[in-house]
Amino acid sequence: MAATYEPIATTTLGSAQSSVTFGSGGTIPQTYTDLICVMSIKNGSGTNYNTYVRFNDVTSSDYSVTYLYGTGSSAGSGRDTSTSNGIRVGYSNAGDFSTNIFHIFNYTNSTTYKTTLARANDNASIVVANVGLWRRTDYINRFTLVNEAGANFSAGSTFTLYGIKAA
Amino acid sequence: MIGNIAAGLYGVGVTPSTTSFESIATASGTGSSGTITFDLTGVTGYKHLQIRYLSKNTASGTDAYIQFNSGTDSVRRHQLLGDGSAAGGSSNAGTAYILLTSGSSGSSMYGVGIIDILDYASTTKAKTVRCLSGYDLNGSGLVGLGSALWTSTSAITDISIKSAGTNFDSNTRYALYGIKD
Repeated sequence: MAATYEPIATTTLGSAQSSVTFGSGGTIPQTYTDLICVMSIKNGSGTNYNTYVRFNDVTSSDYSVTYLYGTGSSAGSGRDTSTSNGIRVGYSNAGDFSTNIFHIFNYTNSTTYKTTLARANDNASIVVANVGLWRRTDYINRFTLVNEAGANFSAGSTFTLYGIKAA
Repeated sequence: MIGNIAAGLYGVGVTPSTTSFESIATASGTGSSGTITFDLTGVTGYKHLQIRYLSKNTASGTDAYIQFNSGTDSVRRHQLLGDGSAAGGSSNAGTAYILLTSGSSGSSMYGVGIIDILDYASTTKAKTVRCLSGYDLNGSGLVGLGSALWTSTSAITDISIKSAGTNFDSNTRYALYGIKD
């Protein structure tokens, strides 16, 4: 059987920037079943911030998320409902690079809403598990990552996109 | 290599190997059955298994379960769950099923999850499973981390995913992957 976990694209920031896009112009290959994005990120704000994903340049309030977190002293859960921010898929601070991975399931399907799973880790403050929903049946051909409050991703942040193809 | 894959998938920060992760089979829901089965007869060459799923039941609010080799041996499981307002833990012992957090029933809204089944062919170890799963219905939902122990030392030869009392809809998909060592 052929290997099915394949790299699609990677980006390493040479300087701080406010967003990162995969598939600009709608060029994410539609040949996989799921997408996985691996992010090693920090932000330049001095504050702990969420990272959001938005699909196909859509900024309407079609996004929602349920999340579970632990801070080292307590555990909790929360959600965003009908938000235009996007789906929470990462977390970072201004100190060390934080490792975050999120999965986009069945992204080429044009009959179901799109669902994500994420594990976010900010080494200094929190671990998070997220399940997100984009209430659109559109297939996903591009997505953009942005930080809470418009904070920049710092230089050296890396973003790698993989595709997994089911039999 | 295996540690590399697992680390890549679950956030330790190592880039996963892309040559040892292979698709074995995909099973879809029919709308008229509540069971999906993978027969592992003839499947060789893998150390671990992973199931990635997108799943919805045809009736509201029911969970799904995973069962090995027709499920006559007992299971112990622990879960950490978040429902959007609070985090909580739960555990069970002595059942024949492992709970998946996939009870979505909203229109076009599906539960998703990633299940790792470690050293599935061993005949000397009890089998361990972990799962990251959940569903969001825009205003309600559940996300969870789970682990389970199947107390049998038998090699896993078939895997059944069972909906709790209802059927899987026709867009439901369970994809089985093998990871080499």
